[in-house]
Amino acid sequence: MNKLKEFLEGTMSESDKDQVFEQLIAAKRDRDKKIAWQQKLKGKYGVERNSKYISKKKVGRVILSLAACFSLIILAYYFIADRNREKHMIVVNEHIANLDIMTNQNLLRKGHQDVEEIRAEANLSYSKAEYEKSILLWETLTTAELANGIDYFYLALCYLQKEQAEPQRSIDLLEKSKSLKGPKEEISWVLSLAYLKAGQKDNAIQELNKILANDAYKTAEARELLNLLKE
Amino acid sequence: MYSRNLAKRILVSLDSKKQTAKPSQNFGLKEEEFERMVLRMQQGDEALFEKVFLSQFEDCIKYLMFRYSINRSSAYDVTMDALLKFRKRLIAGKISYGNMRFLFTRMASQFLSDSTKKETVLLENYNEEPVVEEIGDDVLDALDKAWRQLCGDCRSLLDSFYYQKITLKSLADETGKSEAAMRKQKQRCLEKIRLYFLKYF
Repeated sequence: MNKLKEFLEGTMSESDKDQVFEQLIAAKRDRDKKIAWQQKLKGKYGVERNSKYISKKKVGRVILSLAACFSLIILAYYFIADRNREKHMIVVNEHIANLDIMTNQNLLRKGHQDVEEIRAEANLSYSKAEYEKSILLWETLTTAELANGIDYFYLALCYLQKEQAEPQRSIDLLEKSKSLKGPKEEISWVLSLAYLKAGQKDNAIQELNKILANDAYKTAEARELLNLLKE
Repeated sequence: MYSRNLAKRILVSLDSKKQTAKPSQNFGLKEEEFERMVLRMQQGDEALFEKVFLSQFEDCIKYLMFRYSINRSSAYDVTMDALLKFRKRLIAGKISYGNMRFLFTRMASQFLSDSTKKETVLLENYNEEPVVEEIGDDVLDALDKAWRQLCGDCRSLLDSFYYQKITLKSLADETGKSEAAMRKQKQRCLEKIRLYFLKYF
């Protein structure tokens, strides 16, 4: 740090001294903060910098070396499958958390006044992440057979994003949305996520391949997910 | 065609709309909770911030490990750096309620990218701060010793002013002193720490 050198040599102006010490104090307090967080992370959340699985791995190696070849293959298979599932599910969950609908009033469909009010309220509840309330409102429309393809699509989003996600219900609703000419490309993307959330990998791959083939909405993300699924 | 337009609109709404921001995109915080957390941080109370962010730390590590195929310790380090920066920007009021989860992981990813490059790259859109020269552990160790030599009042004043970024005026209001008196006190404290620092470095 050249400035520090100047300070030590006594050739620094008062204002520069202040600046240097401001930086030093900030750096020191950052380090203090890091140490305090490291301790909290370890003590309160069990999070450490180095892998906590090292010792388990060592024990695992001894056990595996004694195990029969067949058992080894089975274990390795499950280990890899599990890791890959975790890997793509992190990305899937990230995409699901970022799904959104439009609250732009211009996008609300024209129709009966009451229906429009329910749609607007359902949209509003969704935007506040009140998925259960939003579901009730969308279902008012589906029960009364007033819902169109986009309503079913939004309802499917709610089932996928609510705290206790119901991916299978979401899949059924997306299929219904598709049959009612809902937004085709968006349905395809959300359907892929719902399939993965429901553990239906083959269906998801089929849907993701469709996105790629059509160069449709979320092509880049679909390609990335497919690559993760292949690993 | 209809579908393409819809897709564009969805993307626009994802990118920009604060009013559609959801707690799930903001570490479970509702907008009013976020505002309260920032206000408390600006007053020196970081308990809520730590509760929210430290509980998400492991998720971020896992995300970075899988996303960039890096080892745990690298993911831990960049998450820690991102958290420090995120904290500073929250206190400075430079982060608003929106999609904090996305922003935080972007910051961590950027730290990762920086750590693999020799030259420091400024974080596009998120980083307007000047690049600070690397400060060695030996310097900070000496400063630690000097810091411990300071009286409690000086430690508190320098910490509040330089680290928590509380203005001298606010500090003066809190203590019932004038701003000029606070400035003088800060100067005296700085002179003391410089002297102690020279003794240990």
